[in-house]
Amino acid sequence: MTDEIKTQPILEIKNLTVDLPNGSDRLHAIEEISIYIGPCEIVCLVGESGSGKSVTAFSVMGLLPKDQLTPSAGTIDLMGENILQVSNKRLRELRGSRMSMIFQEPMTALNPTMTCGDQIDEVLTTHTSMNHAMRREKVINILGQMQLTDLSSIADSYPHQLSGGQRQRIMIAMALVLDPVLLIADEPTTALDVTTQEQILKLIKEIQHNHETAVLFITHDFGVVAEIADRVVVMQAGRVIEQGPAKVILKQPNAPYTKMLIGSVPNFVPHCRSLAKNTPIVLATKNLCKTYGGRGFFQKSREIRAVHRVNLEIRRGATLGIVGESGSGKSTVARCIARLIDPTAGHIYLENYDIAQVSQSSLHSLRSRVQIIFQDPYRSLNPRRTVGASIIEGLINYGMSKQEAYKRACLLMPLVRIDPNALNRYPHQFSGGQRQRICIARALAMEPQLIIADEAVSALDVSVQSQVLELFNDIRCRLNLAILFITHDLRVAAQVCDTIAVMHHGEVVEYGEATRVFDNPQHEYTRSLFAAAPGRGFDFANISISTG
Amino acid sequence: MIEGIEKLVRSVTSDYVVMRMSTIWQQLIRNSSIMFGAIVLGFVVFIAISAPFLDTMDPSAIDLAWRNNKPGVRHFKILPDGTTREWTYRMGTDTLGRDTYSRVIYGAQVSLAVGSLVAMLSLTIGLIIGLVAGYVLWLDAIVLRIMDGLMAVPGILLAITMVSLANASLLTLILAIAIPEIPRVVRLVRSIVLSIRDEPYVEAAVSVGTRLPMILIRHLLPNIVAPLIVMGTYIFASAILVEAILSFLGVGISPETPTWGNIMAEGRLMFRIYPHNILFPGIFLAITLLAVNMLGDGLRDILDPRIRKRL
Amino acid sequence: MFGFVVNRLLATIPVMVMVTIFVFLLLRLAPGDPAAVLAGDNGSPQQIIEIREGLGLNQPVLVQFGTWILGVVRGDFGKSYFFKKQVSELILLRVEPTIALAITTLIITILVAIPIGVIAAYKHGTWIDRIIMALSVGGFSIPAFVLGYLLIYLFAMKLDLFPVQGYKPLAEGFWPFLHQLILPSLTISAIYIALIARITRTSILEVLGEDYIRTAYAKGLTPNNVLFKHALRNAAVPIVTVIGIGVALLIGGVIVTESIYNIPGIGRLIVDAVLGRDYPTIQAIIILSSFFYVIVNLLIDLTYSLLDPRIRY
Repeated sequence: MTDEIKTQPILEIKNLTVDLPNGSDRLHAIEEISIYIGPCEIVCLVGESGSGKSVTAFSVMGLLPKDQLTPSAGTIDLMGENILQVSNKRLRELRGSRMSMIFQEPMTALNPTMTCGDQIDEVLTTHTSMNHAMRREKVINILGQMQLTDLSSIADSYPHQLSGGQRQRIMIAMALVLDPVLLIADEPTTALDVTTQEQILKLIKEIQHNHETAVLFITHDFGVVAEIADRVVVMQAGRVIEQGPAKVILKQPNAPYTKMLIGSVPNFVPHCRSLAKNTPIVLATKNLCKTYGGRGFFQKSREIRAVHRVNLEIRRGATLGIVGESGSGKSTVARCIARLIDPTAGHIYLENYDIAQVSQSSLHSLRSRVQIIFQDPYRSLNPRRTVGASIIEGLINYGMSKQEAYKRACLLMPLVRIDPNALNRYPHQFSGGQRQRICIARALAMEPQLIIADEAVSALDVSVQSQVLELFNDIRCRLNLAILFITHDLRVAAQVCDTIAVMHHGEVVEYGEATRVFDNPQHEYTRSLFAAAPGRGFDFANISISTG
Repeated sequence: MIEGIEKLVRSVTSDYVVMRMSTIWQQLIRNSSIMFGAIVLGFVVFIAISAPFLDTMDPSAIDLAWRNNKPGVRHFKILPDGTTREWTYRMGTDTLGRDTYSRVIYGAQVSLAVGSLVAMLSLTIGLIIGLVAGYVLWLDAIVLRIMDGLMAVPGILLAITMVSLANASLLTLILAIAIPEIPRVVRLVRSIVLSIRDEPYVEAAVSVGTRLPMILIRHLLPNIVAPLIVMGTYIFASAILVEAILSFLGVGISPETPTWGNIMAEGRLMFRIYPHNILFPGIFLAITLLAVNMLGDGLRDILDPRIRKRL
Repeated sequence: MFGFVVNRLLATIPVMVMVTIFVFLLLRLAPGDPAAVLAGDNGSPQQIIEIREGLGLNQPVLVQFGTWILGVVRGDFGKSYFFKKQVSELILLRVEPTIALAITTLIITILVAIPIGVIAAYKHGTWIDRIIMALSVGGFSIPAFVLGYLLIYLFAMKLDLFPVQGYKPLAEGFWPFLHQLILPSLTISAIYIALIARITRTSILEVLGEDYIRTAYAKGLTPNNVLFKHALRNAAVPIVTVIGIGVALLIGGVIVTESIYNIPGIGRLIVDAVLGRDYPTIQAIIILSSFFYVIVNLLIDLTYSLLDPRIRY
């Protein structure tokens, strides 16, 4: 089989090098990479951010920004035609008809001012001479293949009127309407919820099979790789580290980097940690509600129940995880507890105080006890202040002298594994993972009883993510802290949480010990959520241990 | 319409990068638009300050014997101390025999004073109102209503009316030009505050117990300074222009005061025969405005990373 | 949609109320006695008192405001002190030249500014872009009264292509009417074109960085199609917004330009009224122009939903 593929590749990239503009931190975005894709094959291009996987995809489409990224060596052969050599006109003919691409954000990748049908239709008017009726028929037909219903109304709607999953289906329809031989998918499911992701992955696989399309699938998620890939190409810092059939790479990776990457993927099986049962409760919510409502004369007032009657308990030394898809209200709960927003109703008990009800002045004195860490490490630190100033800001607020606060910060830095000398640097001098550690240090400086991590590892690469998760675990043990861990990633939840609350449409649908919830989910939604998690049959961490 | 502006501003401000002072300086010096603007503006400032020493005479001195002279006419003039010397009317004289050259040079003083004072006044008031409105929700609605009302009155109309109704002193002139500018500043500041206050680092500051005044000073103000400087240059240009328009229409500062607008107003009557009284102050005015606008554009390009990213 | 229109109309009421109160107070509290102006330099104190009573100026401010506002709502702005005519009549007489000027200016502006803005954005970074942008800064910087006289000097006095000053009503034929309007409209357009060309360039550039533009290229569209089918439509909202805000510039430009070209319009009227301390006329013009501004911007708000399907009310 493999020999056959090698003789008739759909896409063959040979020794491709793409230069970065002068003054960048490295010379080449990608360097001497060689990849081939056979007919009907799904090749996954895996790597962390900055590995050059997207640049590879854009090079194939000829969509690199001309003045910034320039291919300087190598060839890209699409069915024997070197894309780097063809004229602009020929390149335009190839795009959309022989090769096409789908993108990460289906919201921004579709033109908001054109109906979905028109956008698909545009591919047909550009590349074919079909008449209006034929085009319409073809559009409806391809939409039907995307397992959409109510086809003509979908064709006539604008992207914002559809859900994320529907939009991605429109993108796929647009890409496949002319039966290209090659489909490039650039992280097509990263922005989607797990359940939608599962459906889209299935769809891509099915369509790919029916249309006999070769797929270059770019992802950072090994769960997705396990789900969809025939072959895998691992990239790091612009180079191909290793490639081979998916089964081989996932089970017996050769390169140390691949081993490390796969080993960093959190295990889907919850850890078994003996929980001290009767540690005191740090924080409890009772019937916590948050409603957003807008109102105006003559306009319908819309009320959105973001959070409805949530009851939670967090004990000292334990981690409570809230999992759920986007819009489930999990972050709203976190922000209510941190009192960044005012709850509409209900109680939040922190020791003997109800922080949902206390006055502003007593709230000020209680603030230090609950600290929050946000998702985006690039925006959580004031870019104009040194990280030291950010860390000691809270201490000074509560009356500590500058020198003393600085001393405290220096003591904290080894705990989060950052050099204390780095305190007078600015955030942009640190990587994402380091910034997240700095945010943790800022939270720890306040000596809180509860730390809220609101998707705190979601923006990080897997290898960095596993280090930060370890750090969380470490400080929880050492300082006997309570942690409220908000995440959409079930693997991450399995690894760190002692108890789990599953949220759906603003309500907690399942709440219990992590082992119980994972092994024996009661609620239907929980079950569907778990079933959708990509690559759940794969025990990544153990594989790497056994092979390495 | 207002939502539109705010979306624009927000899209620009939420995506900033921070630069070190040294790199900012390098960029300022390398930017040709800024260099041109700064040099020309520096020249205008120089002639305004050193006006008495640039071989000028009293810009208000009337000499009926030498009315309506073309540029370059020479004659012997009796100076106040009784001596005579040869005098060249470099830019001619006006209908009252005043030396246009001296009036144009002295005119720079009024223009720059009005421009800078209006800019400072409207920025300060606008900044305070905008900061408060952006953070105190119930005040926000009221302030917005007032600003909408003020914005609905065309600025020049308002200024003309205010100046002509009160006596046209420099102070009323400055107030009349500054007040219509304030709503723009308030809207800018407010929209930046609204976009920054939701940034995670501001929320982090709230959760470590930083109180409102410190949040405003430490975390919000630094983000406002750059756009405010840019806006200040535009207000500076617009104030100079409005002052000139008011004088030109005859409703500005009193006609004997040498301002570029007044000289041109004076020159209107004899424009067809003696265009120099419109030409010279017009050139000075246009070049000054060009310099300030180019300075503003250059600053905006440097301080606004969204535009810069594409260069 | 209907709810939105009603809502927006209601929202203009507080703005207009603010404007009326503001304008009334501004004029009543300002120093300078209109009665003294009317009586002239030789007026006796007795005459001044009589004039004051005749105008109702001796009544309490609130009463004056009440009578005035009731009149305004009926379209009666009172009688001009200076021209001795009904203000509404005065304005109707002067409104034609101003509207003609505004419309020709707007047409010139849109026809010139949007294409050059699009070209500048598409040729971004090239010398074409730089020239267009330099002209735009120039347009911003040259005051209408300098440009106006330059145009007169060049095209009317030296080349004799256009009449120097004055206005011919439409009733005297379309060509003479237009011929007289071209120079004044160009004078006002300069700054307006500069403004609109800039915002067109900026917002097209902004849109060209969006993901869906990349998608359009990935579909194999030609650059022209991408620019006009995808970019311009998405860039329209900010452009239209600025056209609306620019109405304030237009009003300012009209005042100056009518003085330069001796056009008997509203702009001249306001200058004369201010010099003559003619309260009722000033009030009427400020209120009507504010009303005009608010209505134009309201209409522009309503076009948003046509331009961008995401905006639904």
